[in-house]
Amino acid sequence: MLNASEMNTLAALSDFIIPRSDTPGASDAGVHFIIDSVLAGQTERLASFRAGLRPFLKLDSAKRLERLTALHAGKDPFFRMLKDLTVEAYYSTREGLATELGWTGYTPQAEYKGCTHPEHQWKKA
Amino acid sequence: MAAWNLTRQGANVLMLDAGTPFRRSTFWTHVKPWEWRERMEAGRRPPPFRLDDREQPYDTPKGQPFDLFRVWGRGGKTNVWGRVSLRYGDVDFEGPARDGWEIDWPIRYKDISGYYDRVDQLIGVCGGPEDLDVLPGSKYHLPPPAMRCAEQLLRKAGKSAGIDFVHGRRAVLTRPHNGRAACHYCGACGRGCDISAFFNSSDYLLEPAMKTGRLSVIDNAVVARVLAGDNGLASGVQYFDRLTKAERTVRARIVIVAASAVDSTRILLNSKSPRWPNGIGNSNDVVGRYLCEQIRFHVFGFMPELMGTKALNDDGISGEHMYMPRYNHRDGRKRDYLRGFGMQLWNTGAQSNANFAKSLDGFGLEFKKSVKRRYPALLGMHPYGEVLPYRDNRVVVDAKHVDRYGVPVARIEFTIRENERKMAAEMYDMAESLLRAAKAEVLPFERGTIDPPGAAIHEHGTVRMGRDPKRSVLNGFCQMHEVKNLFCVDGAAFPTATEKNPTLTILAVAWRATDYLAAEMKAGRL
Repeated sequence: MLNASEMNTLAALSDFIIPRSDTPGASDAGVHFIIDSVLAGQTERLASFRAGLRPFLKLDSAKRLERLTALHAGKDPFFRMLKDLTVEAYYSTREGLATELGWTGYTPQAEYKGCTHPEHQWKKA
Repeated sequence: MAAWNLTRQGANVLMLDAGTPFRRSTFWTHVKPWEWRERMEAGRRPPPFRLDDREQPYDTPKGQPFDLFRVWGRGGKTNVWGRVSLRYGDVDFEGPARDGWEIDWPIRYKDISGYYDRVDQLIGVCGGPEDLDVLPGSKYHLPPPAMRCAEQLLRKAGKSAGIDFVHGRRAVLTRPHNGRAACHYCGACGRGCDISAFFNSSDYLLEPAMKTGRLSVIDNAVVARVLAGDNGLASGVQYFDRLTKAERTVRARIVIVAASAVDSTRILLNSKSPRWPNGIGNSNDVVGRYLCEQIRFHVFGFMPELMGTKALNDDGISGEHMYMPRYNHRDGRKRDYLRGFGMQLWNTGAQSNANFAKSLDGFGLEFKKSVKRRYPALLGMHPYGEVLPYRDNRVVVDAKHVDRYGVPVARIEFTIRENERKMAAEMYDMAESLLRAAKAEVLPFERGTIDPPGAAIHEHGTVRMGRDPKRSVLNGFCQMHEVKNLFCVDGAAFPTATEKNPTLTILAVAWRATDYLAAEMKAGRL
């Protein structure tokens, strides 16, 4: 499990990946808790994730963003891990999948109308 | 199907099922992703459909992985299957006779078409009116679901690429059928349907069979071997209680094996006796050989007309409402490989995840906007190609590795070869040409990638039917050439895999085989 300082840092970093806009951002959706939970069962991955977090812990916001931008440009593996975990977690939450993206699935419906847009209809030859 | 068809004709049937029954009321069908996580964190678990390999291991040679998916429990894989229900045609049944690769099917479309009709009516298959040589039509289809936006657009694009699409055919009830409620389009079929609105053999076949009073089922009965009497015929079956590991035997007049291809094969290979040193009915060393599967890969794009639109509910009947049938036998072009491929369309439109976002570059507000823009426009293409039967693609058993009951486990030796790789190249060409015709933005992929063997979950061939008893195990009625009272009615009986999903054909072949068996029993010949 990540400690308080790591969790605060992770929340901030996840918000750089998916910020609050007109819809909730990553930390609004509790993404840092989800990532913590996911990594709890994966010892090696957790260790390397912690190692990647460490340089961020004492930096201020501007310096964090600077470092994150550099890691992204350098295709750094920690950045890849952070982004993948954030994206997987965020778009599995109600805030991410339903509010932000507009998913309304897994819900019983009386009928399925499909595509009714006239401009999309294919025509028989 | 065997239990259903035999009991209704007056036979008493005992069915041994390796697993515990699945209870519809425990399915997590409508559970949203965030609720799923909450439940898991609270220690709850969904029904364990997939058999744990640790309970029942199987081996593969080093460097030759095979991802075997097994479901032990009433209904087996039909509890969670993809429901794609495509008829085979004479293009398939005559395939080996035309190109000469391995043995011919001992049946033709005319032998099985009446059974397809009966299966369609019994289980309810929705689909369109199309009737092709490679996908014969049906008079009994339930109405097909309306197509999604991306499917309509792809169909239009296909016209300019010279590629045709048809309505998908699925064993899903799009209107009430035989007293069952229609599907309510919740799109969560893969978790098991808690209202049984798609075909599964437990509710649709075993329940009615039990009502005849002539079917008994013993659950948690892991069959090990078919036993043989002194006359070489099957005399019964040995099984182990999954919970207590106690060993039991039952005697029977007829034995029918339908444990899914690999498990059926393993049972038969382990059925050794002085009369059958290589497994019952296997003096020709064919049982276990000629394992065929299908190759498959995934290509994704975003349809330009749908970018930035409001997300719709694209669940429908979950998975494809549209299908691309095989066409490579018809366009007159010469190919450097045998057989063919079709294509399924899953992951179309708004999905219950945004996994594609991991392949989009960047981070921050622009990234978040670009994910949202693309989310409703997703198109997923999943081509399936036939893997030829090769003699050394096989299932064997080895006494050096036994399971928790002391029975040898299966070892699966399987690789794809040049024919499949050449076919895959054209499959990629086809996918790329469709994406170009649709002017879709392509999600980066690596050409040539193929799913691991076993991923298509369509194993066939290891107890194959054929006319020549030296080169096949069963006749066209799934009856063992060498053991007249032993039948195998699952996918192992098929001599080829084709590019199509087999379940509909397995049902038709099993119905026909058990009609023959019932007639033989009534005539006193079995």
